[in-house]
Amino acid sequence: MTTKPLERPITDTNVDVDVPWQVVVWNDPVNLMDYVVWVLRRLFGHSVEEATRLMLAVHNEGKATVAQGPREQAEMDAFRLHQHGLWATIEK
Amino acid sequence: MIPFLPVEDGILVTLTPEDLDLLSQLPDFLNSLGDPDNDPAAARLQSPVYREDSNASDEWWRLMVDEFRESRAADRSAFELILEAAAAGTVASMAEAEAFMRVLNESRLALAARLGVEEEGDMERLEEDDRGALEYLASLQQLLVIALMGEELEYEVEP
Repeated sequence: MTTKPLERPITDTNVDVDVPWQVVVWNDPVNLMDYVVWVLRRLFGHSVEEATRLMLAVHNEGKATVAQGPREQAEMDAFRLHQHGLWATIEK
Repeated sequence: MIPFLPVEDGILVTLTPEDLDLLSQLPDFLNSLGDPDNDPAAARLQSPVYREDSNASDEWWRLMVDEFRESRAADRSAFELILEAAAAGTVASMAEAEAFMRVLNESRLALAARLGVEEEGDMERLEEDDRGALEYLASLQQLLVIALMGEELEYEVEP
């Protein structure tokens, strides 16, 4: 595989304090890396670059915040991620 | 033979007898999962949504479990319909191909959990047959991911 430099920091820093619920995806030993990219693109409409960045953050850091918003939205995002077999949690 | 080929109106699915032999066992396997309290495979498909609040997690799952059950049953039906026609080749719509993908992934997660895979490295310690089945399913799933994305991804993974 070729080297693809990361153009953005691995963790998200633009957390809005008014929107406290975060949807976190955790690393696991079974989900395929490309599959995780596909799911993130499919569910959140990310570009391939952004979805790949988030997937690598999950893989390398053990977890990554993939979405944030009001609690109801976060719970719906968690549902959709679990529907696709990703290990997702919600936290403030 | 290419198992998953993007075509104009979906994905052309063409599976070998060996593929079909393994894949046709998956819906029954998934339907046979026990209670999350005593079956690690079922527990993996119902992992906590609130990590530090088991009451909130249990409540969330209590509210959502029927919706999950319906969604997973619909996926398994789509999966079985594709299998019935896949020996000769059949075009699955994008929605059907996505359902097929979810069943493949769900099966791998449940099977790996049943075999005790919890952390990186556990896969390497499995019996050859078990590992072989998981890797076979993973390779099929990988081909479906590529077909659905329309491209192979390139990125560097830290060792």
